[in-house]
Amino acid sequence: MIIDCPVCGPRHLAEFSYGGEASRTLVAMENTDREDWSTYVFARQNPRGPHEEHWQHSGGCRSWLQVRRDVTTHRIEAVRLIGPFAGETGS
Amino acid sequence: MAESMIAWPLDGHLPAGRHGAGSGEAPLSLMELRPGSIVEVGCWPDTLNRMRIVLPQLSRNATLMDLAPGRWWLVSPGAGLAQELERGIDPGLGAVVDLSDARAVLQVSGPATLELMSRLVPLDFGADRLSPGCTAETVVGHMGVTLHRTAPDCIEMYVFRGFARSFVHSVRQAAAAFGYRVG
Amino acid sequence: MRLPDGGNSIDRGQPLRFSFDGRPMSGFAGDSIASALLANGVSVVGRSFKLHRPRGIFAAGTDEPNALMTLREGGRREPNVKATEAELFDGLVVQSQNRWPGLGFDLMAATGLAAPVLSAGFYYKTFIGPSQKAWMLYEHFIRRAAGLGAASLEPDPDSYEHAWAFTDVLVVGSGPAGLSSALTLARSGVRVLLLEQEAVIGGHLLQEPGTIDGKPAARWAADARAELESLGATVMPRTTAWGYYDGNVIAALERVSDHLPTPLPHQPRQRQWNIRAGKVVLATGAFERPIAFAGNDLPGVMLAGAAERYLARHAVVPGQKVALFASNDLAYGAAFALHDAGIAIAALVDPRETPGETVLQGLRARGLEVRTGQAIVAAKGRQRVRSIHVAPFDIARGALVGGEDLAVDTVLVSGGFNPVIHLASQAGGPAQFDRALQSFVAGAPREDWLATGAVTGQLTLAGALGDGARTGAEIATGLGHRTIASAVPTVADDRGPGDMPAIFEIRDRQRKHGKAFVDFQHDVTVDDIRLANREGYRSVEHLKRYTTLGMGTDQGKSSNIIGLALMADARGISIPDAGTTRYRPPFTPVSIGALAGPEVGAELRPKRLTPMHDWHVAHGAEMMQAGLWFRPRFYPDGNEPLEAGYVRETAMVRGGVGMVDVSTLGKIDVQGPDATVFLERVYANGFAKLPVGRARYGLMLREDGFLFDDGTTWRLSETRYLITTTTANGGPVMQHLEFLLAAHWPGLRVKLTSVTEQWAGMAIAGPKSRDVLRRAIADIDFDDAAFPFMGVRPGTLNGVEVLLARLSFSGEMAYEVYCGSHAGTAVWQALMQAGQPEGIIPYGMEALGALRIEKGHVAGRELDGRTTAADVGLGRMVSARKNFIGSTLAAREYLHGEDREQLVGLSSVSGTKISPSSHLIEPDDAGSGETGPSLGHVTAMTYSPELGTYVALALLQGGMKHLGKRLTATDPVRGKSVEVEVTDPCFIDPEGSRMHG
Repeated sequence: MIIDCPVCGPRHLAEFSYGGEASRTLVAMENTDREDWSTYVFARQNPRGPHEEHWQHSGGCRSWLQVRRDVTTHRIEAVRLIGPFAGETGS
Repeated sequence: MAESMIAWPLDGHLPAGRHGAGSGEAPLSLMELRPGSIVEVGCWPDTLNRMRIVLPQLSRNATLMDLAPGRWWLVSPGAGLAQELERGIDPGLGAVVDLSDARAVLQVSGPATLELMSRLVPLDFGADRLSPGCTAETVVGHMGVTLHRTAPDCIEMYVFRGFARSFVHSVRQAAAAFGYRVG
Repeated sequence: MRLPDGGNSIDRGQPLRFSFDGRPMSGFAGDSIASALLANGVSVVGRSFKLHRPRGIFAAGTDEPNALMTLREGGRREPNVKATEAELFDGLVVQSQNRWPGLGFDLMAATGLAAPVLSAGFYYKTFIGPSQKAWMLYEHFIRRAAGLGAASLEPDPDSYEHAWAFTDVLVVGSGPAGLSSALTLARSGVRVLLLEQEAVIGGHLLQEPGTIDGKPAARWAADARAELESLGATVMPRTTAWGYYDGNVIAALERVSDHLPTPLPHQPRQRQWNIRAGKVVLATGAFERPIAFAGNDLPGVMLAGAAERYLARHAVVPGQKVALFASNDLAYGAAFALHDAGIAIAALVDPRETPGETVLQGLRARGLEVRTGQAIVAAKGRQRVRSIHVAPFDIARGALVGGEDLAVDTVLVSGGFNPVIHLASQAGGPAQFDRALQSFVAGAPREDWLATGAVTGQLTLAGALGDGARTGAEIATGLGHRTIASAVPTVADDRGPGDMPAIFEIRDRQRKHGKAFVDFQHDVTVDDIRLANREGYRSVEHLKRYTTLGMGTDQGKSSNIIGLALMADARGISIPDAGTTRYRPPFTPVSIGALAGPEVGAELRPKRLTPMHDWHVAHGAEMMQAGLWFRPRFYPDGNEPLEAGYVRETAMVRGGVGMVDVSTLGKIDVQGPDATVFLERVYANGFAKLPVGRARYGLMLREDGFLFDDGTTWRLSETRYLITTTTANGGPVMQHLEFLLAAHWPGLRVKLTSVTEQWAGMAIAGPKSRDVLRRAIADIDFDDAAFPFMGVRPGTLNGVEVLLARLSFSGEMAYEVYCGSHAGTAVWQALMQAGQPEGIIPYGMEALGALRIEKGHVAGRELDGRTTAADVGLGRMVSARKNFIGSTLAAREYLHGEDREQLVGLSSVSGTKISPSSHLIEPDDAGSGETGPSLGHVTAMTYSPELGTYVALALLQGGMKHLGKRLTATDPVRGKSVEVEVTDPCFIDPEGSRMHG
């Protein structure tokens, strides 16, 4: 599988680490609602088809990415950089 | 610091001479580079433009490597670059981290350089991205490596100091198929 | 037998000697082992897998089911190599397989021991269920009887390489379609990589009788290769594309040195390529399909195309009196070529009403006659075909009437062609049934590939050349290249397959003639498939597993479609309704060595060495691995055993001073205006009030509230911290923190940089540690007031900048000294030197562990992902005044239950050793021998020189509530049980007076 890292270009799966489902709603630090945190930590959509995922280019630029991957075909439909420089490409 | 206090990571692990396949002039040359300073500089989106102006001014004779948005390496032959940069970059502008002792640096050069690279790294040097001057970060045999292509047939590889010997072993094994020279 | 001249792939100027089962033989450069064996008149090349029937060479390529050989000797011995694929070299030692005592006389076959019982599902019926004990009894004999070759037990002396390639277009296969598409692409300026599994480029062109642009087809192929290379295309012979992976990644095996006795100096035996291609052209061709009939597995029965190929390429003929049994026109080429070479054609048998006009012309020109509307019902003979039974055959009803026997020594068979859709199937939708071919073609692509030529059913030479050129032009245009009009070459004397009716089996309903085989390699007969149907194993997946059809090393390349057709027939449904299985990698077997590449032996994983590694080794340290790191376990004094050594080292630290290499601890530089805010959020305890120049022990939780990692964090400035992590968690903590910054708090102005490798670290511990440091470092004031416990101070040692923190993992007065890694050894040596008056010693991991166990400090075994801060006695550290990662879910009641497994100390009551793998159970006072449920487990154990007994840390249900209770620590695996008393986990100096000095 090839992920087109917005910083480094297309790289093989072996350089990336999976970081879980990205469609989860992040919970703000001020929020201490146990249900919200439980949902965030434990609940997964696990859809058949396109799946929003976090991947880190851990064997490369170490950027965290949000990747839309069709889990039935492994086709990568979109990749974007997240974090402070979200949206930037290349260096 | 006295030079006698320093142990370079590949000292004694790149024996001089002609090695590997063939005879006569070797198509590859390996050398440990011993930069006095390797410094990582980082900044944030709101300081990116300022850093882009400041950094080239501060870097002077250092090589500036653009690694990722808001992340650079500066490499210079002399020691003390980190302290110099810390003086020029206040904490509000960005971060300066001394990595001078954190990496072993191996330079590969010669006409077979790119062919050797095809045995080591999953990178396409045929594409425009990795033309001379470009950098890339990837993995060689589970070891993270930062590459800097300084000329068409010359590549510098920065690897975690702790992996230096395993890394140079991998490179030497692959280079032996072509023949290489040290020193 | 070899003809006196001809053979476009051999070099008669280079004779080669080899041996087959010890018999000396000869061949030529360019021979495969199969062609050389045929040239030497070898007929029986192996015994079948289950039934030990004699088998001959059947095919000429990767589809060969029979001719599996063991090549070479010693460490290079390689079993199960297809003789049809392996190239001959001088001095090669070839052994046949699965025969005993010899090929000609095989005991298993002679006794007929196997035949009556080994029907479909034999293993399941005999050995599964109540009779599993029988399997235990007979397994050894069965494995011996039904076997392949044996792998060498010696280490493989050769090396294997991994390599990466990138190309705009990858063309797989160098037959007419592959070559013409590669030519069109290269001429258009596209970067092309062409793979061919054989040594010679050309594929089927090498046996085509026709001419291309006036040149013999083989010559045209050689010229095409030269032109491709002159255009800058990469042509890789001896390279098999075996796997098609997501993202247009193709795995290919280059057999660099398989054709040589030993690899050239410094060259690998094989090279495993990972190829990333913008587009892939699959020009993988087609396999000829046999027809099943009784005795069809006898040596002397061969695919027609294989015979044509051996003749054209190696000038080898399979026999002297040949019959052809073909239901298509292309197969006649073999008979014509053999006739033209002077071989007697005894019979041409064609079940169709008539062959095509081109064939009829060829027959007339040669004065040959064809028996149309007839079929070969059986081949007869013992070690080889002696005769065939030919009978009139009704295609519509499959019925046979009468017939006659004809004396022949060779039967060439051809029932049609199966496109080689393996790679396409790996990267595409379900295969589609093609009625004209009576076989499957590729389904819809799921990756970026185009199929061209015979793999799509295009079986004429001109058609394949044109198809390839069109495919190449389409891709070049799509890539924006100005396509050079690639003139499709002119073909003379082309041929086509004609009508190809669905004939898979000539059924001998009276069973007069013995077994008819579908899968030769696994001895699956037509009757086995019908039996599977009767017994209900009808789906193709069940059929495959029940009969083992297609599960041999050839993966059913010659048998799958026939098996499927027979099942469809038995069920009264169509072939596509019976289904087809999906092909998976590898297309042909790939050696484990090639997959492992350079990662073998000592290079299995990279070694991560601390800056002081050489010093440790030079001073006799026994090294151990911690993840990828190498760390000193202990420094034996002469032949001192481990336990004596670590006890000595532990006692020295408690009584004097010792130094341990802690460079492996994960170290993260945290910088930025929001660094403090960040740490407040990621640590369970507070950091906001930590002054500059101080360190604090920190607990990190996971989002679910469980413990993640611990370590000290040093505040270096208002905006800068140095985080240390455990050795094992350096990477995971970094990843965790990077994720939080990227996903949760992209607005925080914080930079994280791993500085694990930047700093050499050494912990100097013991009541005399301060004396040593005072002597070594002049510019730091070591008085308690100036440098208190948890203080952080910079200084210099022999001109080297050092950073000290007064921390203690051992519970003694201790400091961690950090310096740049390049100076690590020099600083270490200087401290060892400075500590001589105090008798300083280096200590290793075992003593480090003993010291921390005595203090009840947690480490990896306690931070096992299932413990909370409260479980390990650190609940008081968790701040209730702030929100941090894990705070909300850590508050769940379930994580505060009274009976959770919690940290306790254990002390061996009798002083005997506690097994570190023990579970804790209620003592068996009554001596009943019964054991109760596990109440917890031991996490770490040591001998404590200070306490004079063995102590341990454990996670025990209810934890400290059981203080003073006696339990049994039992390790049933090792048969060890010890009585222990539950104690406080901190065995020594619970007030901490020693480290506070």
